[in-house]
Amino acid sequence: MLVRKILLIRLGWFVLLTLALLQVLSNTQIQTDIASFMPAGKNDQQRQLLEEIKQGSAARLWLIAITGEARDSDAQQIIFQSQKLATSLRASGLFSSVVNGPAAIDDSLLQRLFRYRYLLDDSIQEDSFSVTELRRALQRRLEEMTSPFSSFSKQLLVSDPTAVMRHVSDHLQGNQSTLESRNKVWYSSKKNRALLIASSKEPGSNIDAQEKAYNRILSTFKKTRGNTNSSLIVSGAPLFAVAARDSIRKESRQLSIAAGIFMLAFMFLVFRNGTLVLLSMLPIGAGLLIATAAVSLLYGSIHGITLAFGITLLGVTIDYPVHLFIHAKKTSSLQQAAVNIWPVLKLGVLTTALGYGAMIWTDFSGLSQLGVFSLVGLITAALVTRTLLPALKRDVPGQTSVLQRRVLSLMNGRWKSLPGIALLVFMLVSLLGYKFFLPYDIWSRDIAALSPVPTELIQQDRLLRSSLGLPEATSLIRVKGTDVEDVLKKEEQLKPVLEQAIRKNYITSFRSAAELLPSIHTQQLRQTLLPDRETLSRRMDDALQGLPFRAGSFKPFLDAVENSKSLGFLKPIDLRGTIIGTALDGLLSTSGQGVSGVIHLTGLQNMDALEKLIRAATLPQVTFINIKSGTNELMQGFRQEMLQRIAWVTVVILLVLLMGLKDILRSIRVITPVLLAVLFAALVPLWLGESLNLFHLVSLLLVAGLGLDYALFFSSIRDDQKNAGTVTYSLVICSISSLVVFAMLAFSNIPVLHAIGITVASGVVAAFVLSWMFSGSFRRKVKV
Amino acid sequence: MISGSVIRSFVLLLIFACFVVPTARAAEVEKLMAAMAAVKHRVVSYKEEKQMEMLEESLHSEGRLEYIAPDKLIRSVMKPVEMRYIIDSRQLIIDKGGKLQVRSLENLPLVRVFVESFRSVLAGDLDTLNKYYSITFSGDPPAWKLILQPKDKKLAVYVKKLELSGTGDDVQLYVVEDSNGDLTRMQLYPFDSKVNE
Repeated sequence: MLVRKILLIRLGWFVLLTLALLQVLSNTQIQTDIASFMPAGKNDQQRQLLEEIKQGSAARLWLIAITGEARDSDAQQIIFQSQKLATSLRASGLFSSVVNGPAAIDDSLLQRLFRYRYLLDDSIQEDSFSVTELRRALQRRLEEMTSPFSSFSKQLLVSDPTAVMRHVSDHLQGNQSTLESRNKVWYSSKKNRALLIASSKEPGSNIDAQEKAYNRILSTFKKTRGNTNSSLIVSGAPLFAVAARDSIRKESRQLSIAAGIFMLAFMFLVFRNGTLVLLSMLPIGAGLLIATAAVSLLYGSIHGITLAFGITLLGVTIDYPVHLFIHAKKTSSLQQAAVNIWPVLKLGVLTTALGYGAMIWTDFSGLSQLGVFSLVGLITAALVTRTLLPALKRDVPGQTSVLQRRVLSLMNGRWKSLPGIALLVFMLVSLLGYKFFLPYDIWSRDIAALSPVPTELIQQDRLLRSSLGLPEATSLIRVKGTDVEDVLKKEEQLKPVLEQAIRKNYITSFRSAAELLPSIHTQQLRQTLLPDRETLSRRMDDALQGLPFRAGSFKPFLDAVENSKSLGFLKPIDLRGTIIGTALDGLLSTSGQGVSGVIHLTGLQNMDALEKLIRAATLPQVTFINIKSGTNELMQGFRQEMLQRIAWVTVVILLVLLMGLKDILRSIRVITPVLLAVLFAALVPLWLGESLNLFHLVSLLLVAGLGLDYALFFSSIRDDQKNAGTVTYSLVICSISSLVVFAMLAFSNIPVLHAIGITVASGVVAAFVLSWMFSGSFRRKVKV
Repeated sequence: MISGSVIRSFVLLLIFACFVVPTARAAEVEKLMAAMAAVKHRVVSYKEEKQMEMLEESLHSEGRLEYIAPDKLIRSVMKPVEMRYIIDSRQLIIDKGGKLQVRSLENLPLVRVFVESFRSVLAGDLDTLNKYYSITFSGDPPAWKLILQPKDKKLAVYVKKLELSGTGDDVQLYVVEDSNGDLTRMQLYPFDSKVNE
């Protein structure tokens, strides 16, 4: 090669890599927000579901408990700490709300509610003020006078003989009062424990923000705790997100360090030359750099998951320099070796790129990033191997190593067809006895099974959640409308349906904005049900016949009803700053498209039946959102799409092979072991009792990529018998390195890493063994 | 004009009345409380009469009262209708024909203080009683009478004073006088199963 050309190539790559590095260092943001990795959603329900996952209240909710030692003496201490923690967290600005005790209705709000009691009363009927009903109510009040507390209740009696206020305040306070409290702080003396609920300002999908919130909770508690011996328990969905990311990060870091050390050591063992070892890392390094730069240029940022998966998929490029160096030992010129292997390598890269590129046109933004990333990385690594490596080093010490001879003589053994036959028999048996061996679902339905969150944490969360009486995080109802009034009206229409669900024991209770504040329409309707003063006065006189009440006692009642008839309507703005106003803020949200209401469900027993019931009601803009099954459906849809695309890509790859190899039989010989290896890689996790998920699927793509390289190189032996030893040896080295790296992942406790590891490791074995067996030269002895 | 010395002696008398009389009786209150504290479980029958401004005739009711130390009180009304009130330091449960209403006392601070007028006497809990009420003791042992006046201003809006009287460790009469003059007189008897049938 000419010196000028060498310099030009070096300079070209240098400029390109420097630019990529600059782009990465200056302009690349790594996104950790899981939401941006998610697909865009195909229909309205899917979009709402995703909105819920990204913005929903459940994903922001922290459950906090402060416990002391199991004695009551430091109860005051615990209560004090709860108050102090709540105050500091509120002041931190990281939380939209921090609640540590029952929401008591204060006197000024109570007075306002009292004034509006006849408009707020949802039990009002046409005949609520009939003589019969009034008389029944008066008799009941008389019976209640036998209470030890009549000193207090009698004053209410004259202005509210039908006990409407009691109904209204019971209704508003819901089932909250069952939680034990002391000094307005949720505190259980039995457990010597105070409870708090905090809601993050940032959406749950922003894990960085959640981590910040978590650290703030910990540090604030440390300060408030001082030197007492109380302890803190934190739980909730945002913690799970933080914990999951942390454990994946930690374990990936450890594993990649281990894999890196192994690769360096292994390369050194094979090449016995430091320069070659360093150079062997160049293609993948350059691939990663330019791929990252390309994605950040195209998308504005790169997702953390894209990066992690991308590095995995680019693992295939580790093989390129290995092939080059081993071939160069024979030709003793790197340039010549590059020219020699290029036709085979090119076809391998091209077909693998097609497989990876299949991901680009999905509406799953994270995966389309991954498609671009792996495509760019792959092509870069191949071009570096073809052009830059020969321009950096002229030759490789030309000797067949002892290792190479040993390996090849081993491969000439009589048993050489055994592994391949064993693999085929295994697959045949698995497929024939499919029902018997794989009695469970092939596809994983449960996305939660992927979560690396320890079960103790989930258990603890469940306990705290139930002791706080919190609604289900798995499902809710969304009601959309043009304005608050519209949403309230729709929620009121839905109410009978939900009450039916309670009667049928599908749920135990629900919480909606309309339960706190009736629509103006309803308030108006209730006003028309109130009788005028004269009518009411006459009816009261009739109702009081024969009862011991003194005449004229009920003037306050007559005044109140009369006043209610002309009262202005109660609107959310009138309740701002009160606990009901705060609760309404949590249940109604305003956006550019209008107002959206959420209905929380408690004690969910039968999700499917409830969903059917709500669907059957056919109320417009009312959506039942089942977060768990919805997410699973979403994943299922995506999987279907991926599988279809893979089928098409397989056809295209076959066409490319036909054009490249110009031989039908040979193309089939190349593609068959690849497909079988993919099948085997899918069967192994199934045999181990694991249903397949998205991560297995991505791993299968890598198996296909590796398999294509192996099959093409084995197949190339036919054209060049002299090189049989070199080709075979370099494939042995390549597959051993991939096998070890992915086997490491397979032993990880983290489901995602384990899934990738087990799939790729078994795929590598199968791809190597089968490509070898299917290559035309299998029966011939390999010349050492 | 009243001379300075008369005023002075009147003030002195007042001071004397405030300090000396209560301390003279304090020992007897303590003795009574100790006797009360010794009884951990009581069941009595009661008859109650309420005279109220808004009612033309007084209201009668009867039933059974149970106390379980230290803080549980169960009032079972038998007539005119059956109803049960179960109260402890945390909550009030109203049982009307099996239909339960549970209320946290946290939200009913007045009820809580009001109940102490009865509970802390039965429990012999003088500290609590002193905290919420000013106590006047009278009577010749073994007969006794306690007049309680609420210290809590919010409670005083509703209740003027309470009277408990009895013999030995038995409470025989519990009278509540509301601020508007309404009167509740509850007489307590040894448990009589006939009343409760």
